[in-house]
Amino acid sequence: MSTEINPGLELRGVRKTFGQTVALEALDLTLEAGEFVSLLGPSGCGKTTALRAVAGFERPDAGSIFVAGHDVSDMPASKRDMGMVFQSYSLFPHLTVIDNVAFGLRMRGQSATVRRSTAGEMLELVGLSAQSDRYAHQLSGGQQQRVALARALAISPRVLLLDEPLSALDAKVRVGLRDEIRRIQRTLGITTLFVTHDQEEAMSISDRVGVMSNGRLEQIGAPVDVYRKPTSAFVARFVGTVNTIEGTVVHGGVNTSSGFVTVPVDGLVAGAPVKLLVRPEAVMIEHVGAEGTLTGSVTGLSFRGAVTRVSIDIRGGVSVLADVAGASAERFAGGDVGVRFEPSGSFVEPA
Amino acid sequence: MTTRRRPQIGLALIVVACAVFFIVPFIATIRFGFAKPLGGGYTFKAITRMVHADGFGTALWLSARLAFGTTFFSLLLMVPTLAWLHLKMPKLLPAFEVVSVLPYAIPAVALVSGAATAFRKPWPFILIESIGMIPLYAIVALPFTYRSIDNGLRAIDVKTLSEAARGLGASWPKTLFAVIVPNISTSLLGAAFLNIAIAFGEYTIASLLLHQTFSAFVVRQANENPRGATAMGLLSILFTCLTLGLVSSLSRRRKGGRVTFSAFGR
Repeated sequence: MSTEINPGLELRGVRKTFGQTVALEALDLTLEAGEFVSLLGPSGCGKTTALRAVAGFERPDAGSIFVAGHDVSDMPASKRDMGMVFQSYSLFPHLTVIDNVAFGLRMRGQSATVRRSTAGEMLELVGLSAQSDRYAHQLSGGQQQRVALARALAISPRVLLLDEPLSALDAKVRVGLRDEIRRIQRTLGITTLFVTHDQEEAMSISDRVGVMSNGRLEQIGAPVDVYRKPTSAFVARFVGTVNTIEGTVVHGGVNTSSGFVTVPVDGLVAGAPVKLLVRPEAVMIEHVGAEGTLTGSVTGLSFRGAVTRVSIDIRGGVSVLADVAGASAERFAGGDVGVRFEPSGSFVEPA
Repeated sequence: MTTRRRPQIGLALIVVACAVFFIVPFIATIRFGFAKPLGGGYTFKAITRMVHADGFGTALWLSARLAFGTTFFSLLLMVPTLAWLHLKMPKLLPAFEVVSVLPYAIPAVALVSGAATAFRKPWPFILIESIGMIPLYAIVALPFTYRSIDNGLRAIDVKTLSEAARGLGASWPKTLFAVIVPNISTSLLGAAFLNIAIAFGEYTIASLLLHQTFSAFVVRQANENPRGATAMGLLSILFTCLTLGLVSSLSRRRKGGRVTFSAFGR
């Protein structure tokens, strides 16, 4: 007898419309138990609608949602056993921190002793035991979201749903809490669906990232695969910066207005118009005239700490951005350079 | 400098004029209600006579019951309705707001006539029993009840809070009573107070339906004991001011987070 392992969360053909607007177009998504998946996309792409459908706050027009193999599509939000952290601060203002964390347990009829001990453990997990008697308005934004996380986890949810919980926080707090969410998620092994429009956030903490556009899942995969092997120009542009150069397919590469570029063009017909997409870190700066390079002039430098972004106008009309490690790019300022595109960071898409 | 002072003097004059307009009648009321008729100091004789008059206790008790009933009825009807509107149909709120102010425009006489026409046959008790005045009082209080609860709901993120509660396992009634109501408690207190004030002060409906409420009693007494009725009116105003002060003070305490609820305190 074979034992079937059910996925932690599964969306099958989930469709949702608001009037004439299609928010979700038959979304299929599967999260393995204990997996951390991020849905990434611009505003209005449907990522939050997908999360709200899973939570039970939006009723899909079609499709089903399964949690650990059980169909929860017709279950009210209050019965789904899902912990959710919202974008806006959602702590109950009339309750103390510990009462907020214990709220879900109270709704489940747990005894005061169990509530107190579980809430205490959760507060310890998020490092806020000392603030247990405070009220929401006495906490910083980061602390409020930690409490919201503890409150969501206190009910031992089957799925943890995070709806842009970091977007209202300042940069430093955001990074700290982001890492903490990942640590706690790994410790508890809880299946987590995270929604964000910040690609760096999604890439840094997820097992897999799904990029959404116009209600559809454009691509889903490990962060490194989504970044290095985008399946569309939209994904390439949304996940990181990309240079877009128009050209036509020739044998072994692409002809652009600035010259020939060596890049894999498997499956494309010679003469077909294409868009060449190149990551800034795949733009190599060499000396003028070096083999296989195009010649251009440096028009600007933008220091960004770990890298310097170099703007280059290649002869023939193509402009690109190149990322050069540290401040070593200073030497290129105002001069002519040879430019080469690394095939590993370059992709071709039919125009 | 002169031009700057002119508006200030003008403003001061307006403030003084307003103060005189409000304070002088107060002083006159105090003098009429509490001064000895022949001069020589003040007395509580008129109001004591009022309190000992036949029917005072019955009228006060009836108004107290009506006040409690009206408050309960108004809040029970309006809190879930408005919470639901805010959550599910916020686009309908402006239309409901217009409906809520209709009692301002409809005189109490018209309300009673309408109720008499509509309910005489199906529910005559509305016109006969004193308890039947509760829905009518709730309609008169509707503009105040609506505004007070609506302000409370607008002051909190009712959608996120209720979704957070629902996600944590709270049913709709529990979400309403464990999350929404405690967070608009000051508004509810204000609404309750306004309902009480209306139930105690309303005269036309009680008079038309021949019920001896507190206000009807005071009006009747005004013929026999005008000083007592005036003194009672003044005390009612003072009671209203004190209660308003209490609500305002609670509101400030609430904002300071000192009104507390506990999940473990039971």
